[in-house]
Amino acid sequence: MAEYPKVPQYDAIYKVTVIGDSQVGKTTIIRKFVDQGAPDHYPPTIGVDFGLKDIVVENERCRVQIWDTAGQERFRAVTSCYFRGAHGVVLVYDVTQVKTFDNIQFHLAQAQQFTADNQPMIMVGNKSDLGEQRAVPYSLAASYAHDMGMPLIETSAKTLNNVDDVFYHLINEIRKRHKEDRSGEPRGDRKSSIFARSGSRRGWCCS
Amino acid sequence: MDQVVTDLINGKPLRGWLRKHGGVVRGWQRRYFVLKKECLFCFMREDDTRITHTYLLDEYCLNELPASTDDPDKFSFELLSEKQPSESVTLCATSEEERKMWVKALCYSIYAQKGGAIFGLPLEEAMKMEHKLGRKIPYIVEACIEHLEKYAMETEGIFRLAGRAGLLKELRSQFETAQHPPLDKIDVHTVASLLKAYLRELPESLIPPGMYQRAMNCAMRYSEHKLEDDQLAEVKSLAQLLWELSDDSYNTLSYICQFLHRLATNVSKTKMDARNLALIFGPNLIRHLDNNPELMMMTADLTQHLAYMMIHHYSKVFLPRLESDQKASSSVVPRPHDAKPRPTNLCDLVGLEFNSAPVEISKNDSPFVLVEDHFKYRDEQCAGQQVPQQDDGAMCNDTSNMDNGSVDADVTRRPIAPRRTKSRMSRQRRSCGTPTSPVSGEWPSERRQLDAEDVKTALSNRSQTSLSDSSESTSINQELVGRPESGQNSDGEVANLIHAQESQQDMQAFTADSQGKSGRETGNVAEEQTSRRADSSIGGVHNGEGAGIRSEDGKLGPSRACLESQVAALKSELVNTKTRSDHLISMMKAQLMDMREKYENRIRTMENQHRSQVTDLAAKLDAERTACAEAVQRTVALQNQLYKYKLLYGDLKD
Repeated sequence: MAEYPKVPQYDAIYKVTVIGDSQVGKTTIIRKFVDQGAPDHYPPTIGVDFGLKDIVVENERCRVQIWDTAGQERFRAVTSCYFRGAHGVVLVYDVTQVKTFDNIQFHLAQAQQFTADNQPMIMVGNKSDLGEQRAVPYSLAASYAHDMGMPLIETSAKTLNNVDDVFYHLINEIRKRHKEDRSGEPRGDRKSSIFARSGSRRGWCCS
Repeated sequence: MDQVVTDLINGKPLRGWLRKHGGVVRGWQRRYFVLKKECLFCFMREDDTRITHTYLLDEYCLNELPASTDDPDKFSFELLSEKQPSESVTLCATSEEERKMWVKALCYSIYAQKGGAIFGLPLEEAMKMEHKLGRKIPYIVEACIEHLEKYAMETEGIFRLAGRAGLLKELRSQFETAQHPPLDKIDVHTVASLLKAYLRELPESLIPPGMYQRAMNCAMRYSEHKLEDDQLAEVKSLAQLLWELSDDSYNTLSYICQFLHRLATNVSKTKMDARNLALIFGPNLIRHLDNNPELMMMTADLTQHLAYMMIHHYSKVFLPRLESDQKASSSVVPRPHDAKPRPTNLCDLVGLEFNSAPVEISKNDSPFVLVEDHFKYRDEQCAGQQVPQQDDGAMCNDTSNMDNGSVDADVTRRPIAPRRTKSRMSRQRRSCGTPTSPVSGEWPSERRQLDAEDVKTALSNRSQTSLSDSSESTSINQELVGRPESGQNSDGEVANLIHAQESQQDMQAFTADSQGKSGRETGNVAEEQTSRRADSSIGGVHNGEGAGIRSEDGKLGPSRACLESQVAALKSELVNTKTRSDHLISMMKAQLMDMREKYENRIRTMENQHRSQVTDLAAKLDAERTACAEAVQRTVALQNQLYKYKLLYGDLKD
């Protein structure tokens, strides 16, 4: 068999973990991000699943490796394994289910426990297309996210609204972090970072 | 660990430092080793251009040495030469892990063509060998199950009880070294353990990780359903899912489940019903890509259900695959979402370092560009005359590459079109002469023979280059090529050829000198140098000497070799950059289109909004305007009235 020089297909790889209650649409968001034509409905994820997507950010080819964790209660213990080595975390809730929003607190605590401090995170309210069934007002969620020092994006995996933005925002933030780290700025300086949870708790907000 | 073998299959060499004991010099020496295909090369330094020793692995057998008590730092293993005991060498790694890695890799290099090294070898790869022998399932699986079928149908606790570890290890190493031990005298539990170990160590479980989610969901729904009808519906969907498996996996899985199904009927004697067997076989048949023990524990019940479905409902899940079906099923790709790019090997998931992350390369990664480019390049370089031919067989190519001073030999290893056709032709010629018979009692060593052939074709081609018009040489070549050869006597013939060539080259050099054509001359001399260098290393391999020739090439070699390697490096860099930027461009294009669509949508909606707002505003403005006009009119009217009243009644006085 002939050999060819191996050209890397990407310049950087980012691992992103997606967590949230079951049935909020984690898998759908990921599959839709990976492939726009993916179906809307998926059976529950067992344990963990993966998605890969190559994107270009600032002229660099980035491979986003998304770890799709199971939302079901019975897999809770195993999901914590998948924070290790993650560059970013996506917290997903369902805007039509208050309970899923309440559980964000739990997931956030779990994520904070198993990841490094100041890990880039992003909160996502899914199913925003179901306007009339909305149970979590945007303002409430936004203020909570603001307090926790992370942005909030409302998406609709079904209509593809804002799905890409979630990951692009997160990747941008991760890249920003890496650049800060690499440029050798003192660590204390990171307090000014918009992700810092201490002090002023200023969040970055978009959407 | 499995990564090593996968790398070797993909042609990626294994390199590293080892300590070596044996050969001419006594005592331990630290050497840099590169393992590639069936050759192990030894260097003095990591960046050394000259090979100090080459081990042709098909003459060796591997022996793992137990850790000695007096020297706990040594993690050693032996390469024992079958023909020349003096060539045997003891190698020593710095850690147990490193030793395992080398042993695994060497084991693959030595025994894979002989049908060994099956543990941890992908099923697909192992089946290539089995297919040649007309088997549809791996030999080890068949042998184990036949044995168990004979002796274990009524053994209590079969599969549940563990076998003898020492015996298991011995059996394993025998299978690894392609010895195919008779299992008759082995106790059933050890054989059962061997089967389980084999299944467990497949790099991809029989039901591949790509199907994990769907298969496990099937099992979950099955376990949740209470009604039998619902359960049977799930069994049916599982059957559909498994139909997508590759033929090899499907046949093997079917064979195993059929046996377990029969075994489960003897529950009164074996005390192993389908559920018990399923619990044991579940994790052996399906595993997640991420081999996380916690995850395995957590999903143990689901894997059990899945295996239970396959064992208990065997006849409903597995259908015999016909030849035509096989083709149809392989061409059908009705995978809903799993067909999308997914990580197929763990290095994709683990490699998180920046810029140095492991890369998966698909074989059809624009190879045409490369071939063409390289072809052109070769053409320019040799200006019409033939280059010393190097085939993709291991030895010749590798030695010359190493000599050329390119440490990263991958770069120069590219297909060269004329050589291809040439060697294929000669191969065909040869195969006409010899009816190749794979069924010869022992395992076929076809690949090995190919390599010997390649060496010979390369040599013969080379001599054709140096003496293109000499009918004598071609006749020699044809004779050599046309003769049926086995791997055993190839050495002598290669040596013969080398001798013949050396004399020819001398002649050639002489004639070149006398011709005095400067441009041609340099080319020829260089040509000769490369060929002689390659010769010398081959000669070194076979005779263990040839130091005189080597010292000569030491003087002449470097500049050309250096330049060549530089050119090759630059070329490959160029190609790299090109493919990279092409890739970048295509990705950016796709992204751009994506973005554009999205933004166009956004703009459209914004425009719509804007338009509606404008119309709204205009309407509002009109309304305001009319209201204003009305108000003005009314004021005017009122003023008029006031004026009238004033006229009638005069000014009011406070």
